[in-house]
Amino acid sequence: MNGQLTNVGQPLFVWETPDGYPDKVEYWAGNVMPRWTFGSTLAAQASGEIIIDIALFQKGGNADATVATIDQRLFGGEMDATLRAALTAYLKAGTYNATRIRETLALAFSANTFQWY
Amino acid sequence: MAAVAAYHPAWLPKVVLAETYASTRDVMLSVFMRGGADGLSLCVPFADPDYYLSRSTIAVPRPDAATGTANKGIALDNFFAFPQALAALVPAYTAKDLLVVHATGQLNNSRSHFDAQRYLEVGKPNDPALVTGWLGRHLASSPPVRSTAPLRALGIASGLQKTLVGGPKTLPIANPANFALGGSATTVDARLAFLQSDYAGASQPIQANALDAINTVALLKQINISQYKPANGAVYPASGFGNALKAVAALVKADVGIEAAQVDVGGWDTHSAQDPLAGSMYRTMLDFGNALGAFYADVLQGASPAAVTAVAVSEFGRNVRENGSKGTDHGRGTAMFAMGKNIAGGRVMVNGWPGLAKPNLDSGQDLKVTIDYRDVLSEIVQNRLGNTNLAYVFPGWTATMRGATR
Repeated sequence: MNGQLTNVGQPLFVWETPDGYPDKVEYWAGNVMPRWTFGSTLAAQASGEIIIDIALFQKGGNADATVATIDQRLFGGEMDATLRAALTAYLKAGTYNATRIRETLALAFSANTFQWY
Repeated sequence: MAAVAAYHPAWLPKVVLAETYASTRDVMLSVFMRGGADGLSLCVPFADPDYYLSRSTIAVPRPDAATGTANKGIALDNFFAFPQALAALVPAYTAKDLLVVHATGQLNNSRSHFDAQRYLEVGKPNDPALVTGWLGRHLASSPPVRSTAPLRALGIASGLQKTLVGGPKTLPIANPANFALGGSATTVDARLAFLQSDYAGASQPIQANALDAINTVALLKQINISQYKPANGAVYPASGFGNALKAVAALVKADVGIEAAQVDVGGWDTHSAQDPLAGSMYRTMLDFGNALGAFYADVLQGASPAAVTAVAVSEFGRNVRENGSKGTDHGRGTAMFAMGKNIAGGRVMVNGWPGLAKPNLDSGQDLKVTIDYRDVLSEIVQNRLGNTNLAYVFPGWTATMRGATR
Protein backbone atom coordinates (compact mmCIF):
# COMPACT_ATOMS: atom_id res chain seq x y z
CA MET A 1 0.00 0.00 0.00
CA ASN A 2 2.86 2.35 0.79
CA GLY A 3 4.11 1.74 -2.73
CA GLN A 4 0.83 3.00 -4.10
CA LEU A 5 0.88 5.96 -1.73
CA THR A 6 4.38 6.78 -2.95
CA ASN A 7 3.18 6.69 -6.54
CA VAL A 8 0.51 9.26 -5.84
CA GLY A 9 2.92 11.44 -3.95
CA GLN A 10 2.18 10.79 -0.30
CA PRO A 11 4.58 8.14 1.00
CA LEU A 12 3.92 7.43 4.67
CA PHE A 13 5.86 9.51 7.16
CA VAL A 14 8.27 10.85 4.56
CA TRP A 15 7.33 14.53 4.68
CA GLU A 16 10.38 16.27 6.16
CA THR A 17 9.06 19.37 7.88
CA PRO A 18 6.59 19.24 10.80
CA ASP A 19 3.83 20.91 8.81
CA GLY A 20 2.95 17.66 7.06
CA TYR A 21 1.81 17.15 3.50
CA PRO A 22 0.28 20.37 2.16
CA ASP A 23 -3.44 20.78 1.98
CA LYS A 24 -3.24 23.45 -0.68
CA VAL A 25 -4.72 23.06 -4.14
CA GLU A 26 -1.66 24.51 -5.85
CA TYR A 27 0.47 21.65 -4.48
CA TRP A 28 -1.81 18.83 -5.62
CA ALA A 29 -3.57 20.28 -8.64
CA GLY A 30 -0.92 19.13 -11.08
CA ASN A 31 -0.83 15.60 -9.71
CA VAL A 32 -3.56 14.23 -11.97
CA MET A 33 -1.72 11.55 -13.93
CA PRO A 34 -0.54 9.53 -10.94
CA ARG A 35 -4.03 9.67 -9.45
CA TRP A 36 -5.58 8.39 -12.68
CA THR A 37 -3.05 5.61 -12.80
CA PHE A 38 -3.86 4.72 -9.21
CA GLY A 39 -7.53 4.48 -10.17
CA SER A 40 -6.55 2.08 -12.92
CA THR A 41 -4.36 0.03 -10.61
CA LEU A 42 -7.00 -0.13 -7.90
CA ALA A 43 -9.77 -1.20 -10.23
CA ALA A 44 -7.61 -3.96 -11.63
CA GLN A 45 -7.11 -5.62 -8.26
CA ALA A 46 -8.51 -9.12 -8.51
CA SER A 47 -6.31 -10.91 -6.00
CA GLY A 48 -4.02 -10.19 -3.11
CA GLU A 49 -4.65 -7.86 -0.21
CA ILE A 50 -7.19 -5.66 -1.95
CA ILE A 51 -9.84 -7.22 -4.13
CA ILE A 52 -12.46 -5.41 -6.10
CA ASP A 53 -15.25 -7.87 -6.63
CA ILE A 54 -16.28 -7.21 -10.16
CA ALA A 55 -19.21 -9.63 -10.00
CA LEU A 56 -21.12 -6.97 -8.15
CA PHE A 57 -20.86 -4.67 -11.15
CA GLN A 58 -21.75 -7.42 -13.61
CA LYS A 59 -25.19 -8.00 -12.13
CA GLY A 60 -27.78 -6.87 -14.61
CA GLY A 61 -25.64 -8.06 -17.48
CA ASN A 62 -25.43 -4.83 -19.46
CA ALA A 63 -23.63 -1.50 -19.56
CA ASP A 64 -26.48 0.62 -18.22
CA ALA A 65 -26.89 -1.61 -15.19
CA THR A 66 -23.16 -1.56 -14.50
CA VAL A 67 -22.96 2.20 -14.62
CA ALA A 68 -26.03 2.43 -12.39
CA THR A 69 -24.24 0.23 -9.86
CA ILE A 70 -21.15 2.43 -10.03
CA ASP A 71 -23.39 5.42 -9.45
CA GLN A 72 -24.94 3.74 -6.43
CA ARG A 73 -21.76 2.39 -4.85
CA LEU A 74 -19.34 5.25 -5.57
CA PHE A 75 -21.43 8.32 -6.04
CA GLY A 76 -24.32 7.64 -3.66
CA GLY A 77 -26.67 8.01 -6.59
CA GLU A 78 -25.42 11.53 -7.33
CA MET A 79 -23.48 10.88 -10.53
CA ASP A 80 -24.22 13.60 -13.03
CA ALA A 81 -25.80 12.80 -16.37
CA THR A 82 -22.77 13.74 -18.48
CA LEU A 83 -20.52 11.37 -16.61
CA ARG A 84 -23.12 8.62 -16.69
CA ALA A 85 -23.42 8.98 -20.46
CA ALA A 86 -19.65 9.05 -20.93
CA LEU A 87 -19.06 5.98 -18.78
CA THR A 88 -21.83 4.09 -20.52
CA ALA A 89 -20.45 5.04 -23.90
CA TYR A 90 -16.99 3.85 -22.92
CA LEU A 91 -18.29 0.54 -21.62
CA LYS A 92 -20.41 -0.02 -24.72
CA ALA A 93 -17.46 0.77 -27.01
CA GLY A 94 -15.78 -2.47 -26.02
CA THR A 95 -16.68 -6.05 -25.26
CA TYR A 96 -18.80 -6.27 -22.10
CA ASN A 97 -16.45 -8.28 -19.93
CA ALA A 98 -14.70 -8.06 -16.57
CA THR A 99 -11.68 -6.21 -18.01
CA ARG A 100 -13.78 -3.53 -19.66
CA ILE A 101 -15.87 -3.16 -16.54
CA ARG A 102 -12.76 -2.72 -14.43
CA GLU A 103 -11.55 -0.02 -16.81
CA THR A 104 -14.89 1.76 -16.58
CA LEU A 105 -14.64 1.59 -12.82
CA ALA A 106 -11.13 3.06 -13.02
CA LEU A 107 -12.43 5.93 -15.13
CA ALA A 108 -15.13 6.54 -12.57
CA PHE A 109 -12.47 6.67 -9.82
CA SER A 110 -10.49 9.12 -11.95
CA ALA A 111 -13.41 11.32 -12.90
CA ASN A 112 -13.25 14.94 -11.90
CA THR A 113 -16.53 14.84 -10.00
CA PHE A 114 -15.39 11.85 -7.97
CA GLN A 115 -11.92 13.13 -7.10
CA TRP A 116 -12.71 16.75 -6.42
CA TYR A 117 -16.03 16.57 -4.65
CA MET B 1 -12.89 11.49 -32.55
CA ALA B 2 -11.52 15.00 -32.38
CA ALA B 3 -10.38 14.61 -28.78
CA VAL B 4 -8.08 11.76 -29.74
CA ALA B 5 -6.28 13.94 -32.27
CA ALA B 6 -5.91 16.75 -29.77
CA TYR B 7 -3.30 15.05 -27.70
CA HIS B 8 -1.25 13.71 -30.55
CA PRO B 9 -1.02 17.18 -32.00
CA ALA B 10 0.12 17.50 -35.55
CA TRP B 11 2.57 20.23 -34.61
CA LEU B 12 4.64 17.90 -32.45
CA PRO B 13 7.98 17.83 -34.19
CA LYS B 14 9.87 14.66 -34.74
CA VAL B 15 12.05 14.94 -31.71
CA VAL B 16 15.72 14.21 -32.24
CA LEU B 17 18.05 14.73 -29.36
CA ALA B 18 19.80 17.64 -30.94
CA GLU B 19 23.48 18.34 -30.61
CA THR B 20 22.75 22.04 -30.65
CA TYR B 21 20.18 23.95 -28.68
CA ALA B 22 19.12 27.28 -30.04
CA SER B 23 17.17 29.70 -27.95
CA THR B 24 17.60 33.24 -26.81
CA ARG B 25 16.77 32.42 -23.20
CA ASP B 26 18.46 30.00 -20.86
CA VAL B 27 16.60 27.10 -19.35
CA MET B 28 16.57 27.52 -15.58
CA LEU B 29 17.60 24.55 -13.47
CA SER B 30 16.68 25.52 -9.93
CA VAL B 31 17.93 23.24 -7.18
CA PHE B 32 16.84 23.48 -3.57
CA MET B 33 19.14 21.93 -1.01
CA ARG B 34 16.56 21.14 1.65
CA GLY B 35 17.51 21.20 5.31
CA GLY B 36 19.92 24.08 5.75
CA ALA B 37 23.19 23.27 3.98
CA ASP B 38 26.43 23.96 5.83
CA GLY B 39 28.18 26.49 3.58
CA LEU B 40 31.38 26.22 5.62
CA SER B 41 31.75 22.59 4.53
CA LEU B 42 30.63 23.20 0.94
CA CYS B 43 33.16 25.99 0.48
CA VAL B 44 35.76 25.81 3.20
CA PRO B 45 37.31 29.09 4.43
CA PHE B 46 40.57 27.34 5.25
CA ALA B 47 42.49 30.60 5.57
CA ASP B 48 40.19 31.82 8.34
CA PRO B 49 41.83 30.60 11.57
CA ASP B 50 38.55 30.60 13.46
CA TYR B 51 37.26 27.86 11.17
CA TYR B 52 39.59 25.30 12.71
CA LEU B 53 39.17 26.75 16.22
CA SER B 54 35.39 26.31 15.92
CA ARG B 55 35.32 22.81 14.47
CA SER B 56 37.65 20.49 16.32
CA THR B 57 36.29 17.29 14.76
CA ILE B 58 34.38 18.22 11.62
CA ALA B 59 36.68 20.63 9.84
CA VAL B 60 37.97 19.92 6.33
CA PRO B 61 41.79 19.96 6.38
CA ARG B 62 43.63 22.73 4.55
CA PRO B 63 44.63 22.09 0.95
CA ASP B 64 48.26 22.36 1.98
CA ALA B 65 47.93 20.02 4.93
CA ALA B 66 50.69 17.47 5.22
CA THR B 67 48.87 14.94 7.34
CA GLY B 68 45.48 13.46 6.49
CA THR B 69 46.17 14.30 2.89
CA ALA B 70 43.44 12.11 1.45
CA ASN B 71 40.77 14.38 2.92
CA LYS B 72 42.33 17.75 2.40
CA GLY B 73 40.44 20.49 0.69
CA ILE B 74 40.84 21.39 -3.00
CA ALA B 75 41.96 25.00 -3.17
CA LEU B 76 39.72 27.32 -5.13
CA ASP B 77 41.86 30.34 -4.35
CA ASN B 78 44.08 31.28 -1.45
CA PHE B 79 41.19 31.47 1.03
CA PHE B 80 38.51 28.93 0.08
CA ALA B 81 38.53 25.26 -0.84
CA PHE B 82 36.13 22.58 -1.94
CA PRO B 83 35.96 19.43 0.13
CA GLN B 84 37.03 16.27 -1.71
CA ALA B 85 33.34 15.35 -1.92
CA LEU B 86 32.85 18.16 -4.44
CA ALA B 87 35.81 17.22 -6.66
CA ALA B 88 33.41 16.65 -9.56
CA LEU B 89 32.65 20.39 -9.58
CA VAL B 90 36.26 21.43 -10.11
CA PRO B 91 36.14 21.23 -13.94
CA ALA B 92 33.21 23.63 -14.06
CA TYR B 93 34.94 25.93 -11.58
CA THR B 94 38.22 25.85 -13.48
CA ALA B 95 36.39 26.62 -16.72
CA LYS B 96 34.93 29.66 -14.95
CA ASP B 97 31.40 28.35 -15.40
CA LEU B 98 30.71 27.69 -11.72
CA LEU B 99 30.29 30.54 -9.27
CA VAL B 100 30.20 30.06 -5.52
CA VAL B 101 28.54 32.86 -3.56
CA HIS B 102 29.42 32.81 0.14
CA ALA B 103 28.03 34.41 3.27
CA THR B 104 24.77 34.59 1.37
CA GLY B 105 21.23 33.68 2.30
CA GLN B 106 18.12 35.33 3.60
CA LEU B 107 18.00 38.54 5.58
CA ASN B 108 15.08 37.14 7.56
CA ASN B 109 16.55 35.17 10.44
CA SER B 110 14.00 32.42 10.87
CA ARG B 111 15.54 29.13 11.90
CA SER B 112 12.40 27.21 11.07
CA HIS B 113 12.84 24.88 8.08
CA PHE B 114 9.38 25.32 6.74
CA ASP B 115 9.17 29.06 7.26
CA ALA B 116 12.66 29.68 5.87
CA GLN B 117 12.07 27.36 2.91
CA ARG B 118 8.76 29.02 2.19
CA TYR B 119 10.22 32.54 2.37
CA LEU B 120 12.98 31.61 -0.04
CA GLU B 121 10.68 29.82 -2.46
CA VAL B 122 8.06 32.55 -2.59
CA GLY B 123 10.85 35.12 -2.73
CA LYS B 124 9.72 37.20 0.21
CA PRO B 125 9.66 36.73 3.97
CA ASN B 126 6.66 37.10 6.25
CA ASP B 127 3.91 37.55 3.68
CA PRO B 128 1.21 34.92 4.22
CA ALA B 129 -0.75 36.23 1.24
CA LEU B 130 2.05 35.41 -1.21
CA VAL B 131 1.55 31.85 -2.37
CA THR B 132 3.26 31.92 -5.75
CA GLY B 133 6.95 31.14 -6.18
CA TRP B 134 9.62 33.35 -7.68
CA LEU B 135 10.16 31.02 -10.60
CA GLY B 136 6.42 30.61 -11.12
CA ARG B 137 6.07 34.39 -11.25
CA HIS B 138 8.96 34.63 -13.69
CA LEU B 139 7.16 32.18 -15.99
CA ALA B 140 3.88 34.02 -15.56
CA SER B 141 5.49 37.32 -16.53
CA SER B 142 7.37 36.18 -19.60
CA PRO B 143 6.09 34.86 -22.94
CA PRO B 144 6.67 31.18 -23.67
CA VAL B 145 9.85 30.33 -25.51
CA ARG B 146 7.67 28.08 -27.67
CA SER B 147 4.06 29.19 -27.94
CA THR B 148 2.88 25.64 -28.69
CA ALA B 149 4.75 23.95 -25.85
CA PRO B 150 2.38 21.84 -23.74
CA LEU B 151 4.73 22.19 -20.80
CA ARG B 152 6.89 25.15 -19.84
CA ALA B 153 8.19 23.97 -16.51
CA LEU B 154 8.19 20.93 -14.28
CA GLY B 155 8.95 20.15 -10.70
CA ILE B 156 10.58 16.79 -10.34
CA ALA B 157 8.41 15.88 -7.37
CA SER B 158 4.98 14.48 -6.66
CA GLY B 159 3.55 17.80 -5.65
CA LEU B 160 4.38 21.16 -7.11
CA GLN B 161 7.13 22.87 -5.12
CA LYS B 162 6.32 26.38 -3.94
CA THR B 163 9.07 27.80 -6.13
CA LEU B 164 7.02 26.97 -9.23
CA VAL B 165 3.51 27.78 -8.00
CA GLY B 166 1.90 30.30 -10.29
CA GLY B 167 3.75 29.21 -13.39
CA PRO B 168 1.51 28.55 -16.39
CA LYS B 169 1.83 25.15 -18.03
CA THR B 170 3.79 23.89 -15.05
CA LEU B 171 3.32 20.42 -13.56
CA PRO B 172 4.85 18.21 -10.94
CA ILE B 173 6.25 15.15 -12.69
CA ALA B 174 7.95 12.86 -10.25
CA ASN B 175 9.38 10.58 -12.91
CA PRO B 176 9.65 12.15 -16.36
CA ALA B 177 11.01 8.90 -17.75
CA ASN B 178 7.71 7.20 -17.01
CA PHE B 179 4.87 9.70 -17.26
CA ALA B 180 1.89 7.82 -18.58
CA LEU B 181 -1.55 6.55 -17.75
CA GLY B 182 -1.37 3.04 -16.39
CA GLY B 183 -3.46 0.14 -17.55
CA SER B 184 -3.80 -1.61 -20.87
CA ALA B 185 -1.91 -0.16 -23.82
CA THR B 186 -4.75 -1.02 -26.21
CA THR B 187 -7.24 1.19 -24.42
CA VAL B 188 -4.95 3.94 -23.14
CA ASP B 189 -5.79 6.40 -25.93
CA ALA B 190 -9.51 5.95 -25.44
CA ARG B 191 -9.17 6.32 -21.68
CA LEU B 192 -7.11 9.50 -22.06
CA ALA B 193 -9.73 10.85 -24.41
CA PHE B 194 -12.39 10.11 -21.80
CA LEU B 195 -10.41 11.93 -19.12
CA GLN B 196 -9.67 14.89 -21.33
CA SER B 197 -13.35 15.29 -22.02
CA ASP B 198 -14.33 14.75 -18.40
CA TYR B 199 -11.82 17.24 -17.01
CA ALA B 200 -12.87 19.90 -19.49
CA GLY B 201 -15.59 20.52 -16.95
CA ALA B 202 -13.32 20.76 -13.95
CA SER B 203 -12.56 23.95 -12.11
CA GLN B 204 -9.24 25.70 -12.55
CA PRO B 205 -6.41 25.05 -12.10
CA ILE B 206 -7.26 21.37 -12.33
CA GLN B 207 -8.80 21.74 -15.76
CA ALA B 208 -5.68 23.30 -17.27
CA ASN B 209 -3.38 20.89 -15.45
CA ALA B 210 -5.30 17.88 -16.69
CA LEU B 211 -5.06 19.04 -20.29
CA ASP B 212 -1.38 19.89 -19.90
CA ALA B 213 -0.72 16.49 -18.35
CA ILE B 214 -2.42 14.66 -21.20
CA ASN B 215 -0.51 16.65 -23.80
CA THR B 216 2.69 16.09 -21.92
CA VAL B 217 2.27 12.31 -22.01
CA ALA B 218 2.69 12.36 -25.77
CA LEU B 219 5.59 14.77 -25.54
CA LEU B 220 7.53 12.78 -22.97
CA LYS B 221 6.86 9.53 -24.77
CA GLN B 222 8.49 10.95 -27.85
CA ILE B 223 11.47 12.32 -25.98
CA ASN B 224 11.91 8.87 -24.44
CA ILE B 225 14.02 9.88 -21.47
CA SER B 226 14.64 6.31 -20.36
CA GLN B 227 16.74 5.82 -23.51
CA TYR B 228 18.64 9.06 -23.11
CA LYS B 229 22.40 8.84 -23.53
CA PRO B 230 24.45 11.55 -21.83
CA ALA B 231 27.15 13.20 -23.90
CA ASN B 232 30.84 13.68 -23.28
CA GLY B 233 31.14 10.59 -21.12
CA ALA B 234 29.04 12.08 -18.36
CA VAL B 235 27.88 9.58 -15.75
CA TYR B 236 25.04 10.61 -13.50
CA PRO B 237 24.86 8.97 -10.08
CA ALA B 238 22.04 6.45 -9.81
CA SER B 239 20.31 8.48 -7.12
CA GLY B 240 17.10 10.48 -7.07
CA PHE B 241 19.04 13.68 -7.67
CA GLY B 242 21.19 12.14 -10.40
CA ASN B 243 18.16 10.76 -12.21
CA ALA B 244 16.37 14.08 -11.94
CA LEU B 245 19.27 16.00 -13.48
CA LYS B 246 19.59 13.42 -16.23
CA ALA B 247 15.93 13.86 -17.05
CA VAL B 248 16.35 17.64 -17.13
CA ALA B 249 19.30 17.26 -19.48
CA ALA B 250 17.20 15.15 -21.83
CA LEU B 251 14.40 17.70 -21.75
CA VAL B 252 16.80 20.57 -22.43
CA LYS B 253 18.37 18.85 -25.42
CA ALA B 254 14.98 17.86 -26.81
CA ASP B 255 14.33 21.58 -27.23
CA VAL B 256 10.55 21.35 -26.84
CA GLY B 257 9.96 24.52 -24.90
CA ILE B 258 10.70 23.46 -21.34
CA GLU B 259 11.97 26.61 -19.67
CA ALA B 260 12.51 25.64 -16.06
CA ALA B 261 12.87 22.66 -13.79
CA GLN B 262 12.79 22.57 -10.00
CA VAL B 263 14.68 19.76 -8.32
CA ASP B 264 15.06 19.16 -4.61
CA VAL B 265 17.91 17.40 -2.87
CA GLY B 266 17.80 16.60 0.81
CA GLY B 267 20.04 15.34 3.54
CA TRP B 268 21.55 18.69 4.51
CA ASP B 269 20.11 19.00 8.05
CA THR B 270 23.27 17.74 9.74
CA HIS B 271 22.58 18.17 13.45
CA SER B 272 24.77 15.24 14.43
CA ALA B 273 27.65 13.17 13.05
CA GLN B 274 28.00 15.58 10.15
CA ASP B 275 31.36 14.14 9.00
CA PRO B 276 32.02 16.00 5.75
CA LEU B 277 35.08 13.85 5.16
CA ALA B 278 33.69 10.32 5.13
CA GLY B 279 30.21 10.19 6.66
CA SER B 280 26.77 11.64 6.19
CA MET B 281 27.60 15.05 4.77
CA TYR B 282 30.38 13.58 2.65
CA ARG B 283 27.85 11.30 0.98
CA THR B 284 25.33 14.09 0.52
CA MET B 285 27.92 16.41 -1.00
CA LEU B 286 29.33 13.62 -3.17
CA ASP B 287 25.95 12.90 -4.72
CA PHE B 288 25.28 16.60 -5.16
CA GLY B 289 28.65 17.31 -6.76
CA ASN B 290 28.70 14.22 -8.95
CA ALA B 291 25.23 14.88 -10.30
CA LEU B 292 25.88 18.54 -11.04
CA GLY B 293 29.29 17.67 -12.43
CA ALA B 294 27.70 15.13 -14.75
CA PHE B 295 25.10 17.69 -15.80
CA TYR B 296 27.90 20.14 -16.56
CA ALA B 297 29.80 17.62 -18.65
CA ASP B 298 26.67 16.42 -20.42
CA VAL B 299 24.97 19.69 -21.19
CA LEU B 300 27.47 22.51 -20.87
CA GLN B 301 30.64 21.06 -22.31
CA GLY B 302 31.54 20.20 -25.85
CA ALA B 303 31.26 22.19 -29.03
CA SER B 304 27.61 23.16 -28.58
CA PRO B 305 26.79 23.78 -24.94
CA ALA B 306 23.15 24.25 -24.14
CA ALA B 307 21.76 27.52 -22.91
CA VAL B 308 21.11 26.51 -19.31
CA THR B 309 21.73 28.27 -16.03
CA ALA B 310 21.66 26.27 -12.85
CA VAL B 311 21.38 27.59 -9.31
CA ALA B 312 21.47 25.77 -6.01
CA VAL B 313 20.25 27.40 -2.81
CA SER B 314 19.42 26.37 0.73
CA GLU B 315 17.10 27.95 3.27
CA PHE B 316 19.87 28.80 5.75
CA GLY B 317 23.35 27.72 6.75
CA ARG B 318 24.56 26.25 9.99
CA ASN B 319 26.35 27.35 13.15
CA VAL B 320 30.04 28.12 12.92
CA ARG B 321 30.87 26.08 16.01
CA GLU B 322 30.15 22.38 16.00
CA ASN B 323 27.80 21.06 18.67
CA GLY B 324 28.24 18.23 21.16
CA SER B 325 27.08 15.65 18.64
CA LYS B 326 29.75 16.40 16.04
CA GLY B 327 27.19 18.24 13.96
CA THR B 328 25.92 21.78 13.55
CA ASP B 329 22.59 23.42 14.25
CA HIS B 330 20.60 25.89 12.21
CA GLY B 331 22.52 28.99 11.23
CA ARG B 332 22.41 31.92 8.87
CA GLY B 333 24.91 32.65 6.10
CA THR B 334 25.71 29.82 3.72
CA ALA B 335 26.98 29.17 0.21
CA MET B 336 24.97 29.11 -3.01
CA PHE B 337 26.01 27.97 -6.48
CA ALA B 338 25.36 29.26 -9.98
CA MET B 339 26.50 27.42 -13.08
CA GLY B 340 26.35 28.13 -16.79
CA LYS B 341 28.37 29.36 -19.74
CA ASN B 342 27.23 32.92 -18.97
CA ILE B 343 27.84 32.79 -15.26
CA ALA B 344 30.92 34.73 -14.13
CA GLY B 345 32.38 31.75 -12.35
CA GLY B 346 35.79 30.48 -11.38
CA ARG B 347 35.68 32.40 -8.10
CA VAL B 348 34.04 32.65 -4.71
CA MET B 349 31.96 35.81 -4.57
CA VAL B 350 31.87 37.54 -1.21
CA ASN B 351 30.77 40.99 -0.11
CA GLY B 352 33.50 41.54 2.45
CA TRP B 353 34.06 38.18 4.13
CA PRO B 354 32.78 38.82 7.64
CA GLY B 355 35.09 36.27 9.22
CA LEU B 356 34.34 33.59 11.75
CA ALA B 357 35.65 35.27 14.92
CA LYS B 358 32.89 35.44 17.50
CA PRO B 359 32.51 39.24 17.54
CA ASN B 360 31.83 39.11 13.78
CA LEU B 361 29.16 36.45 13.99
CA ASP B 362 25.43 36.93 13.83
CA SER B 363 24.10 36.39 17.38
CA GLY B 364 27.59 35.27 18.28
CA GLN B 365 27.06 31.96 16.51
CA ASP B 366 26.47 32.30 12.78
CA LEU B 367 28.18 33.45 9.62
CA LYS B 368 26.56 36.74 8.70
CA VAL B 369 24.44 37.09 5.57
CA THR B 370 26.21 39.71 3.48
CA ILE B 371 24.52 39.02 0.13
CA ASP B 372 20.78 38.47 -0.15
CA TYR B 373 20.19 35.48 -2.41
CA ARG B 374 17.65 37.54 -4.34
CA ASP B 375 20.44 39.72 -5.71
CA VAL B 376 21.99 36.76 -7.48
CA LEU B 377 18.67 35.32 -8.62
CA SER B 378 17.42 38.71 -9.84
CA GLU B 379 20.52 39.15 -11.96
CA ILE B 380 20.03 35.70 -13.45
CA VAL B 381 16.32 36.31 -14.10
CA GLN B 382 17.15 39.56 -15.85
CA ASN B 383 20.27 38.65 -17.77
CA ARG B 384 19.85 34.94 -18.46
CA LEU B 385 16.08 34.49 -18.51
CA GLY B 386 15.41 37.77 -20.29
CA ASN B 387 12.84 39.02 -17.78
CA THR B 388 13.06 42.57 -16.47
CA ASN B 389 9.91 42.32 -14.33
CA LEU B 390 12.05 41.95 -11.23
CA ALA B 391 9.66 43.84 -8.99
CA TYR B 392 7.04 41.21 -9.81
CA VAL B 393 9.36 38.24 -9.47
CA PHE B 394 10.80 39.48 -6.16
CA PRO B 395 8.24 41.86 -4.71
CA GLY B 396 9.52 44.22 -2.10
CA TRP B 397 13.13 43.71 -3.07
CA THR B 398 15.40 46.00 -5.05
CA ALA B 399 18.28 43.94 -6.30
CA THR B 400 21.92 44.91 -6.35
CA MET B 401 23.55 43.48 -9.45
CA ARG B 402 26.81 41.93 -8.31
CA GLY B 403 28.29 40.67 -11.55
CA ALA B 404 27.24 37.04 -11.21
CA THR B 405 26.62 36.87 -14.96
CA ARG B 406 28.76 37.71 -17.96
